[in-house]
Amino acid sequence: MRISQRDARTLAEVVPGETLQGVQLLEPQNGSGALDWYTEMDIAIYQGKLLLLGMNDSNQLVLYQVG
Amino acid sequence: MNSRALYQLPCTTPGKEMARAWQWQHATEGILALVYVSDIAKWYPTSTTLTLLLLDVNTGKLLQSASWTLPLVVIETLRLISDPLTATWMIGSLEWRSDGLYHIAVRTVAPGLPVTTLFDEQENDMTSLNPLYTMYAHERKCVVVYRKSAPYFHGNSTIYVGSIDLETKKEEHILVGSADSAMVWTDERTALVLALNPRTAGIWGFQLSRYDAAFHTKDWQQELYPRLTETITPVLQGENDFEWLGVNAAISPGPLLDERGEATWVVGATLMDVFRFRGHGHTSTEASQLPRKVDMLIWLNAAGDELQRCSETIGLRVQMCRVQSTIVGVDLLNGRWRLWNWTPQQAASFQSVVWLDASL
Repeated sequence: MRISQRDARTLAEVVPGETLQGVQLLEPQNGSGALDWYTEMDIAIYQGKLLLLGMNDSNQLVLYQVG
Repeated sequence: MNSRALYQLPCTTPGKEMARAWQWQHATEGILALVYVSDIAKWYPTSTTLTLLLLDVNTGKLLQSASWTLPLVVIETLRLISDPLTATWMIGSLEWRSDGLYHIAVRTVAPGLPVTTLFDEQENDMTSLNPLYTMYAHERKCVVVYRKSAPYFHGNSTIYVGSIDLETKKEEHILVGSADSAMVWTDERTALVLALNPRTAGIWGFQLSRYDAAFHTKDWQQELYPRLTETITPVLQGENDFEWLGVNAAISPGPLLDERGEATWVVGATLMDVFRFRGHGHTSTEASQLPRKVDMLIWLNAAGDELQRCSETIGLRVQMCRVQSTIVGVDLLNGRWRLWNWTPQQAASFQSVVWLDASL
């Protein structure tokens, strides 16, 4: 998984991105009947940093902080 | 950028499909609540264990936790909200129980973490409940938006809003309208429902409706018409099954209008003709390479009137956000993810497009 911070006008990366090796996002919970099923992502911003809930390569559920 | 693991959640049966939800605690700095399925007993008597954690994100330390084992229950979807006035957590769930029926339940968790059931709506043998679109607290009420299928799956499914008074426990259920599928967007003052309905009187399409946040007043409803390309699929014009289409949609707040600061929205949607995948499943990447599709990316004012229509085609799984007067979006087009931005006040075309790493 790669996380980057980009300028909204130029879309260029403003700082070098970060790669989380072996980490995967969880599957969306809504399926049939939801037009936006794919938009559910376990991420939040706190004090300018990204919080992310994902599965690591050992199949453990981990809360990460990136930024 | 740096990354670190803040906290590993105890879980005996982890999986990418596990039900979970998280929410910040009101009026505290950096206290995050997480609820998730931490254990599943798959052999009879089956059970599901729900765990609620309170974490201090500043330190990564666990502040409080509680677990509840629910016999003969399978939880598919979780939602978590807090009521700041009573310091109560509310856990919403779509769950399958031993009665063979789906239920939408809301359980409240008081400060000492005792749990009680606030709301329990079950399907019957004619209709099913799915999905649980959203849940939020509004004026001492818990609001739950969900879909009921048509009886025996004939006719249209319907969207309902359940409103439960947190003091009196009194329930009110409002029928919002019909929808084959839908999405719900809310903020503190407004609720938008984008509904996709099969053809009525020869017309198919999207209806966007605006309500107050309690769903007591419907301010307006607008028909939204996707762009029909020259390669329009016969599936969209003929009598074929509408439900074979792969449909994605997203809503974002749009740029504020002038000095009045009037709210606007941007709606994006794509309908792909996945009819040719008949007989086997397909991935989003495969679907995004199909040439036949219709789409729309439009900017709407507070009354739902179209202010601008983007001239660019958009792909599947579109997601958007507003950064000042710019809409930044991501989508999957021709098998590749891309990032784009659009300033609808200035132009009908994208300002820039960046194709993301092809290995994604």
